[in-house]
Amino acid sequence: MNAPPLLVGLAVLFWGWQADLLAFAAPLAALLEGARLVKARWDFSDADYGRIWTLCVVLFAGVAVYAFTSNDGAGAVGSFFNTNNPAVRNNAMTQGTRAVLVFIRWLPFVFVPMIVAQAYGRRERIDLAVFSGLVRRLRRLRPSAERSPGVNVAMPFFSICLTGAAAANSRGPGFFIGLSVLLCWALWPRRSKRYPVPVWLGLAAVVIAMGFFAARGMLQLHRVVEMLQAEWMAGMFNARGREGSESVTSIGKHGRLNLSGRVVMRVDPGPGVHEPPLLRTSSFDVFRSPVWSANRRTFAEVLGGTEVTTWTLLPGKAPGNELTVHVSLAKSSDALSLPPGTGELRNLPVAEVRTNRFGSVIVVETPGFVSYVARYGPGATLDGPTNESDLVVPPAERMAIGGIAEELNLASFTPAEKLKAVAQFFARHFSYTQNLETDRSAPAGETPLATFLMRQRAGHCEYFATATVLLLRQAGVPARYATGYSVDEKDRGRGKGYVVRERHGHAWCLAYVGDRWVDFDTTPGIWRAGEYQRGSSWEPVRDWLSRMWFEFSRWRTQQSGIRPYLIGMVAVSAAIIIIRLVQKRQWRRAGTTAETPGRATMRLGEDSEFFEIERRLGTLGHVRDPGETHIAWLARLESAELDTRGLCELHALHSRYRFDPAGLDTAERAQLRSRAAAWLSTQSATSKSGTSETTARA
Amino acid sequence: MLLLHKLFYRSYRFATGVEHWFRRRFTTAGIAVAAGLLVSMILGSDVTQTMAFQVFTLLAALLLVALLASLRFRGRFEIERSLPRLGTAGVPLRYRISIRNRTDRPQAGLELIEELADPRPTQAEFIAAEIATRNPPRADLLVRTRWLTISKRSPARTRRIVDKVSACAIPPLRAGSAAGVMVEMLPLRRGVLRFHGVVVARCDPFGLFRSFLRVRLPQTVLILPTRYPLPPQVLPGARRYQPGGVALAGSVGRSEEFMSLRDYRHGDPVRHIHWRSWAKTGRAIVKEFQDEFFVRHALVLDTFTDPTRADNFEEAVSVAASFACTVLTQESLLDLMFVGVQAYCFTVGRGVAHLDQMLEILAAVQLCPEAKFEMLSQKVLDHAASLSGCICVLLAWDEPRRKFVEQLRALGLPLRVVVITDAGEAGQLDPGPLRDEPESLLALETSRVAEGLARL
Repeated sequence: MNAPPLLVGLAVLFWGWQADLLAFAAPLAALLEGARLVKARWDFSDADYGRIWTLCVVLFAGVAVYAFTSNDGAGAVGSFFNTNNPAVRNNAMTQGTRAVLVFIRWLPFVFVPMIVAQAYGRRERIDLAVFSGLVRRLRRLRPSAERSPGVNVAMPFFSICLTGAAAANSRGPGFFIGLSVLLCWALWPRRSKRYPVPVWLGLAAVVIAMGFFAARGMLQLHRVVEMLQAEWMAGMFNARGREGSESVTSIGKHGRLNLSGRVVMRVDPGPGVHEPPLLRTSSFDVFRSPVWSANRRTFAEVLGGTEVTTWTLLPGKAPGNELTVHVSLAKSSDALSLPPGTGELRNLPVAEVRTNRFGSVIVVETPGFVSYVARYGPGATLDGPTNESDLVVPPAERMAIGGIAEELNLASFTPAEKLKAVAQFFARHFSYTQNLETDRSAPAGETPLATFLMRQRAGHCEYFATATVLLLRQAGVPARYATGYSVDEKDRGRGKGYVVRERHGHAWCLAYVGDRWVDFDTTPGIWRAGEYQRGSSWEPVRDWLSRMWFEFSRWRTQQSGIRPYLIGMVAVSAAIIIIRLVQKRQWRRAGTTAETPGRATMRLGEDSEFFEIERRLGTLGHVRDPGETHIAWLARLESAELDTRGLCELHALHSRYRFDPAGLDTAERAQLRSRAAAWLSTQSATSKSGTSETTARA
Repeated sequence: MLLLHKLFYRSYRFATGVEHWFRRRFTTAGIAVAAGLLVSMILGSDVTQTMAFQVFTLLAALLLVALLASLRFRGRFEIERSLPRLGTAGVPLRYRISIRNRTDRPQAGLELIEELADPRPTQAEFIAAEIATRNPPRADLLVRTRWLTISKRSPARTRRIVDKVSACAIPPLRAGSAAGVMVEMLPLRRGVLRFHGVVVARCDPFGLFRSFLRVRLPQTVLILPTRYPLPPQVLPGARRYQPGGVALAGSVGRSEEFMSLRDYRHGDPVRHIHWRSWAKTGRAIVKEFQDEFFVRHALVLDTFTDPTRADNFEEAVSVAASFACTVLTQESLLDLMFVGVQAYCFTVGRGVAHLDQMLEILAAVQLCPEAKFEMLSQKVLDHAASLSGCICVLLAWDEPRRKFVEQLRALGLPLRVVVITDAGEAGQLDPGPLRDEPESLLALETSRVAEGLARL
């Protein structure tokens, strides 16, 4: 399909307008439409088009890599498949989609070389074999098969421009108007001549009106669906969101917990730190089975230090320990996982850091992958003072909790002794399991926590942490429920530091003892090792991929971005292709055929001296008939008793010069030239003497 | 297994049927709009992320209006197709169709599309081919559908004579007037090309979708096999006694037995002039002799191979046709021998039959996968006594064929053996019984037949 005049130029302008790339699109549109005014054309061969297509493919790959790295698309795709968490998946999907859309928005740019080559090339259509290896292969297999006339890339480019403009997502009526105009213009030359123009215009107006109202309808439908989906998700959502204001536990669920082995972060302990502490992400004070939530969770902004990458959380504290955390954060905002008593964060290039009284640290506008240093030590923490909610035991749990507290006689102990008694109680009577069976002996109405405490006496960290918090509260010790990660697994791939997986996610108790908050973990230590930490069989593969991505992210952030390399790579390939193109070709006027003497015509042997001999013999009346071969002609001359001695040998040389792919070497070429000249000179001498004899006779 | 094959055949018919419908009903612009609709549907699924949903609604409205506008197409047309009797594979077939508008309204913007017979194999053929190629039935329909259209082993391809039938524009027709349309199509292989009818198509105002009006017009045209240029062939061999002569021979051979007198024809030898009759009648009269001694060559065509090597067989037919056209039959006879339903021997030359008829037979030769090669060799050996030489076009160079060649050589017949091989195997052929005259054996690769024949 050929494009009507101005269509491609207008489409490029439309794309530039929608994608905010007008500065690039306007000259391009002028360049493309200018081809109609310029008569000069470039004579591209199939091989040249092949090179230009290779350039497009290189650009395609370059733009894809750029779009995905600058929007963390690959990381998003990785995390989408590595997680079971719907919130993380949702986030990954949005991020991946954004990368794809950036890529589509830039797509017209990728195919610019091809469309310019067609506009300024001599051919209207480009052979399919240029684009497809399959076609080339089929041609090799069946050389005699019918060849398609090729493709005109104008209309495909037009649709790519429209797609790019659509992906730019600039809201407003301009898109629909522009789209309608361009579509009508594209369809106008293809209209059926059976119908008068007013009918066509009327139907086009109907189509535009229908399209407009259908688009509005789709927007409204989307709103309704989104609302319904939000309601549905609210019921279904079960996320251990890092930033969430609540933590939905698995308390009360039966069956095996499915915990992913995805690497969440990597931790390098600083000098002097032998055993990294638990990394806390958040803490909560209100329990409504099975949800822990945070009451009055207001955040305060932390002022940046002297450098914008250093943030002092606890002014005046001089922490002695250091821990480096490598983690991919969500771009808009995310929560950090930090050791207890963190006073300062270094090497954290974010726009804003916020903290709250639950010790949560939220960072805003992150670069994606960060490697921050947390400086921590014993003493003050970010957690705010206690209040009445740190002592509340939910009414539904009071019976079981009260019973245990009485059994342990907690009321009579000092706070430190209470902690010890509770720890001993769990260590002696409880075991760890991730696979909870339904307890049929439990009476109806008994809470899952009560069943855990009174009957089953086995559960996972959420049971232990929740039970500990409520027991301490019953005993009068303010306590909170904390979530975060336990750092246990050495990073074998790197040979140093630790690796933290999703299944290392942990919950424990924060107890307020001696005027400060301390971590108090009653979960049996067995969960850290053994079968509970065994990953799936393909975990090594996933670890390797994760490691590659980690190294790439580090390299990218440390070496001021990948962009210069990408641009350099594309520029070098473009330069190579252009140089190879220019070396061979020359500009030709449109409409003229390739008659000018060049290497191609010389090689055919058109300059052979034998033709001069043929012309000479022709003037003497020995014309070669059309279709008569040279050999037959020479045989005829010989039978006409003409002296053709030497001509046969000359002809053999001439034939080799004309048709032998190897051609003649220099000596043979010279021989052909000299012998032809010699024959011509003797011939002219004889004819002259012949003429003088005739004159004399007259 | 059979059930799976049947299921796959059904899905194959469905997929190809949909594709055929889509390609005929939609114009190129229509296909582009449909593709755009699909892409915009995927991109525009989230209306907040892109504006592609507006593209989707606009294109959907466009297609809907085009479909609605293509309803109600009435007309009466009288159509006549002037087909040539024969066509040739690889050479465009051009003919004229005249169309008369039988309505009382002018008709414009119409197109004409030929309706050919369905080239798809029947279920039995399909399953036989599938089992022969030992392809397990698979569910990946798309891959298999592509396979059926492009693979040389596919049963669908071996039946398709014309690959693409394009629409031709009909000039505007006044009420009651007629116009002619030149139709051109490229036959890809030999065989009988069957026309079912003609479709008069009308596009919607946007030029996206066609509505059809079918006119039944069954006709056939025979497509002859491809012929390759061959250098003039001088076949070795002496005249042989033809027992009983050759019926209907139009020109005489050099026999001693006087048969009759007839009028002089240009080119008759002077020594055959019957002077006494000339004296009586005043016209030149010559003696005619019984034509018993002819140069008679056999062109043996091998038809024994399995259907997976159908392409090799097609090349063999083309090679045989090329020889048939090149061997001069003015002064000699040429017997085409092959086995189809039975063993056939068909003779041309010296006015017995015309070359066209031999090509027509070659256009209809079918593979014979069930029978054995011995059937053909026996037929040729029976005839060997009357033969001066033999051209064998073989599909393999195995033991039965070598034995056959050896037997012919033992009878002293000059031979020329052409073996059609798969690509890349031509160089590895052992001459076998033709060891002492390897130039008589010519191995041709399927993809480079023309090149190989030019070397003769």
